[in-house]
Amino acid sequence: MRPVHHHPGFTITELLATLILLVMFFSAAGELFRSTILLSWGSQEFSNRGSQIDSALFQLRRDVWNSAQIAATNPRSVDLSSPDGTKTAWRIDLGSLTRTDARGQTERWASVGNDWSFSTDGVSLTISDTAPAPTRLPSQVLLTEKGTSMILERGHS
Amino acid sequence: MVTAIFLMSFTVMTLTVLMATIAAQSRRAQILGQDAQLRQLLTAGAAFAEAQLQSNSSGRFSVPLPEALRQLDADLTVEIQTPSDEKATADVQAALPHHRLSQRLSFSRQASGWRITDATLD
Repeated sequence: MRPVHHHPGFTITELLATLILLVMFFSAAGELFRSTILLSWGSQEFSNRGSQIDSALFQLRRDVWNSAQIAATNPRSVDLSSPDGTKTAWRIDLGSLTRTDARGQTERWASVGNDWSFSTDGVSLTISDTAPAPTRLPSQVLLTEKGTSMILERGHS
Repeated sequence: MVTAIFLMSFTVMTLTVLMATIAAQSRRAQILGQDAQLRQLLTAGAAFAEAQLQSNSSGRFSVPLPEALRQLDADLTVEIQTPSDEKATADVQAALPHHRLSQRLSFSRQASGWRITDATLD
């Protein structure tokens, strides 16, 4: 009688279970890869956008700081006049923030200020956007003049 | 095995990017907060400079600060120069540890007293 040889093998259930595990594993790997790339890109975009906003705000703050008059003609534009009469205009249009100085030179920050709106209380420029608290940029000239007026009024009374 | 190593690398990379972004934003928020504090000090320095000018004082002054700011090692100095009877400048410097801001103010004398004519934030 010839001996019967049993070849070692896997049952169909084991193969199916392995296949399911592999599919789950590679699916998770794909998601992880996608998340890594998206996070890396998003982080860079976020950082670039933050830098652009900081740069625009730095310049706007300097202009407002030396303003003797702040005229927010509408929520999308503001005209700033320095004590020597030099005018600087800031506009939000076509998805970008634009600064035009007295010599007509223009500086543009793309994709900044889309959701901004300007308003003024006479001594500062207020920028409202989706943030819970607005950003307030004061004029040092107007604040100091206001202080002087108060001192003078106190002196006269 | 190779796939597992790749997966672990991706995880480490994701966590690193996430931590770096959080750290950078935290640092940025801290700097913005200090900037706001320094600008308030500059405004106080401007008021101080103007008060000194109205009483015809000039020279270098260290402005006394509230206890809360002294505990933060904040410092505010004002240097007033009057090159002529009609014009004056004041250099105001506000400092916190590792961070400082300054401005130059110009004043002109008018009938009602000294009036500010320029404020340049450095």
